[in-house]
Amino acid sequence: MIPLALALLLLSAPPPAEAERLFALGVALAEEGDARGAAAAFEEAHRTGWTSPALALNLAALYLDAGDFGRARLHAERALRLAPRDGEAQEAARRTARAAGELPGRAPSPGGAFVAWAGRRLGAAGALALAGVLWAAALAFVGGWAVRRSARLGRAAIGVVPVAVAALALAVAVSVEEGRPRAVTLAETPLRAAPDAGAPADRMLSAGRLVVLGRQRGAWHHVRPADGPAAWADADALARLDG
Amino acid sequence: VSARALLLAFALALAAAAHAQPVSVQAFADKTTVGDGETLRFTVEVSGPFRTLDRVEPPEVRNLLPVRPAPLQERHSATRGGRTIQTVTLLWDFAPEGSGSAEIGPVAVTVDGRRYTTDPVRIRVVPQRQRPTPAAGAQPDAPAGNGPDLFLRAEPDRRAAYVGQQVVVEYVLYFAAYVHPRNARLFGAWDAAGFWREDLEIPGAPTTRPVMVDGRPYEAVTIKRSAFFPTRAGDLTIDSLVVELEALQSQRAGGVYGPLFNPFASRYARRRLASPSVAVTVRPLPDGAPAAFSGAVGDYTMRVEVDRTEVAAGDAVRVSAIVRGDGNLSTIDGPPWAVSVPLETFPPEVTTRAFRTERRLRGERRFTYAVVPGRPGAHTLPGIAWAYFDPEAGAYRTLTSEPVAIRAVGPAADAEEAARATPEGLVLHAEPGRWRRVRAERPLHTRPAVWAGFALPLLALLAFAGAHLRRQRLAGTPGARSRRALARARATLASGRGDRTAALAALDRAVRDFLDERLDLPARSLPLADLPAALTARGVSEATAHGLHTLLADADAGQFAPAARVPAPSPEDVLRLLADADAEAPLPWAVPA
Repeated sequence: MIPLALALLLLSAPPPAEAERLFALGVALAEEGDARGAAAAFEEAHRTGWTSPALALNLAALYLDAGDFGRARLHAERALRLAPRDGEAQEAARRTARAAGELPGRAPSPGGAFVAWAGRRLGAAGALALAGVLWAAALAFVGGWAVRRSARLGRAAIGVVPVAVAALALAVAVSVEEGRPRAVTLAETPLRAAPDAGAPADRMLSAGRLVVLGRQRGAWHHVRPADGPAAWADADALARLDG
Repeated sequence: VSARALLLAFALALAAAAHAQPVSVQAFADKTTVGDGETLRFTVEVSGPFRTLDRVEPPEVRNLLPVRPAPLQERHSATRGGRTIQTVTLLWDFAPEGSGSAEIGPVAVTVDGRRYTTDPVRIRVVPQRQRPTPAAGAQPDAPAGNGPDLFLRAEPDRRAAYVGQQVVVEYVLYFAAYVHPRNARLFGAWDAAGFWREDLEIPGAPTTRPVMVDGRPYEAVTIKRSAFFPTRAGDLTIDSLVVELEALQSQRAGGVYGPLFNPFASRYARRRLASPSVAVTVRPLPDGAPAAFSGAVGDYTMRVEVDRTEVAAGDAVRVSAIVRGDGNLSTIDGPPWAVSVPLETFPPEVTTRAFRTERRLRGERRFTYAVVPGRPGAHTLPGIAWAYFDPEAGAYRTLTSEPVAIRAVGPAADAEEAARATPEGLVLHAEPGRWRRVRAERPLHTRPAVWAGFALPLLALLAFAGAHLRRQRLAGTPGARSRRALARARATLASGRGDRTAALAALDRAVRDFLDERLDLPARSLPLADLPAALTARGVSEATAHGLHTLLADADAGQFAPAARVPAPSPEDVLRLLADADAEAPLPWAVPA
C-alpha cells in the first residue's frame, strides 16, 4: 500500500516551479529584446531536468535568430522528439535543417520509406498500440475457432493473424528507428576515418547536422549523417537529442 | 647582322656540337686510399648519343672482393640539340682483402659496336685505424646517435616560403650496406611551431637507393615525408625528428668475411637518430589581394558542377565548386558566392579529399551550395569567383566560372510558403505547456512491459486452450461420468421442488438416471425387487442399496397410490444416498463374477 501511495504522490507531483519561473523569466527577457539573456534563462530551465515542446521551440527560435544553427537545430529536433505530430515543431525542424545547410539525403529503400512514414503518422507507441489491438483480435479469433470449430471464426483468424504479425514487425521497426540515439553537431567538425585526431579528415560536417550515433570510443563517436558514409567525430562537437 | 640571325647561328652551332659530341667512357673509384674495414665504389660511366651498349663484364681485381655479385646500374637520358644523350652508370662496391696495394683492372665497354677500354685504377689499402673518422654524414649539426655508418637527414624542398605555402620535408635514412637497419619508429614528440603539418604517405614498401655521400657509398631510404604550411611570417623552425631503430653492429676488422668466421661479432642494437632541425624563412603574402581571396596559397584549379538545370519551384539545385590542387586544402574557405531573390542559398556543405601518396599534398575540396528558386521561370546562377596566391609566380590569381541558366517549373510558392522559406520568424511561446522530465527514454521495443502486454493474451489463449483440451479429454473418464451423474441428479431434484407429486417424480427420475449413468444399471427396466441385488453386485453396500430401494418404492407409491400419503424426502437426503453409492461403487466399476 505504501509503495502505491508513494507512486501516486510522485505522479501528482507539483509542476516544476523553478522551471516555470525560469521560463517566465526567459519570456520576459525576450520581450525586452534581450535574446541572449532569454536563451540563458531557457537553458537554465532545461537544466532543472524539466522541458516542454514550447521551451525547446523558444530556444530554437532564439538560436536561429542569432545564427547559431547548431543549437537551433538541436532544440528544434528536441521539440519534434517531444511532440512528433506538432506542426510547429515539424516546421522548426525543417527550417533549422535548411538553415544548417542540410541537403536532402539519399532516397531510402521502399521499406525504409514505409517505416519512416509509419513513424511519422503513428509513432512507436501508436504503432505498438495498433499492433496490440490486432494481436488481441487475432488471438480472440484463434481461441474462438479452437472452442467452437466455427468455419467463420477460422477464416477470420486466417485473415487477421498475418496482419497482426506484420503490424507487430512494423511497430518494432518504427521503435528501433525512433530509438536510435541521435545528435546534432554544435560546430563544424571534421569526420575522420579513425577515432584519432591524426586520422585523415575527408569531410567537414557543418554545424546543425543531424547524425545517428554509433559506438563510442574514448572521446570519439562513430556517426552516420543523413547524406554520407559513417565516420568518426569528436564527441565534444555533438549534443544528443535526449540530453 | 640582325639579332634573329645571330640567335639562329648560335642554335645551329649548338646542334652541330651535339651531333658531333663523342661517346665518353670514364672509370673512377670514389677513393684511392681505403681502410681495410671500409668499402670503395668503382664507377664506370658511359655517356653520349649512342644506341646500343653491350654487356659490361666486371673488372679484374687484386686484393679486393666484390660486395655484390652484379653491379648497380643507373640510366639517364636527356635531349640536347634534338638528339638523345644517354648516360649509363655502372657501380661496383669492393671490400679490401687486406692491407697493401690493390688494383681494379681495365674495363672493356662496347658502344654501338665500338670497343672502349678504361685505364686500371690503383688502390692503397691501409689499416682502418689509420683512416680518419668521416664526418657524421656531413651534417654540421648532426645530433648524438648519428654515426658514419648510419644517419638521418631532413631534406626540405625549400627553405624560404610564403605564409601558407607548402614546404615538403623528407626524412631520409642513410646507412652503410652492412648496417641493415630495421624496426624504425618515431621517438618522442615532434613539434613545428608556426606550421600546420600534414603527414604524407610513402606508397609501397620502403625501397633503398644507392647514393654517394662525401665519396662514400650509402643506401638511402625515405622513412617519412611531411608537408608543412607556415601560418605566420618570420624565421620558423621545424624541430628535429627523432627515430629509434635497430641496426647491425658490424665488426669490420676481419674484412668482408669477418662475420662469417666470427658470427657473434655482429648483433643488432637499438640506436636513436635525430635529424637536424629545419629553418624556414617565411615571407608574408604581398598586398593587393583580390576580394575573392580567402587565404589559399598554392596551385589550384576550379570547376563548377550543377546537378540539374530544371527543377520544381521550391526544390533545391546543387551547385558544387570543386577546388583542386596543391596546397593546404583543410583550411581553405569556399568562394564567397551569393544569389539574389527569388533564388535562395544556404551555407555550403564542404567535403575534402586529400591525396597523400604523392610527393606533395594534393587534393580537392568541394563546396556544395543548395540553391532554391522561390518561383517558376528562368533564373541565372551567377558565376563563382575564387582567388588564391600563386607562390611560384608571386602573384594572386582569380578563378571564375560561367553563369548557369536554370529553369524552375511548377506553381509559384504562396506567400506563406515564401515566408516559411526564410530561416527567421519562429514564434516565441509565452506558455510552457506540459512539462516533461528530461531523460533518455528507452525505446519501446526494449521494454519488457511492452512484450508482456503482447505475451499475456497469448498466454491466456494457451491456458484456455489447454483447459479446454483437458476438459475434452477427461469427459469420457469414469470420474467425469461420476461427477456428471451427480450433477445431473442434483439438477433433476431441483426441478421437482414445490409440488409433492412432481418432487416424487423428479426423485424417481434422478435416482434411476444416476444408477443408469454412474453404475451402468438399467434401472428403468429393472424390476424394483431386483434392484438391491444388482446394486450390491456393483459394490454398493447393502444399507445404501436398501435405502435406494426404499426411496424408489416410496416414490412409486407416492406417485401411483395417492392415498398412501408418502412424504417426499428432502433432496439433500437423496443426494447423500446417491453420493454414498457413488463412493462405494469402485471406479472404474466392474461387475464381480
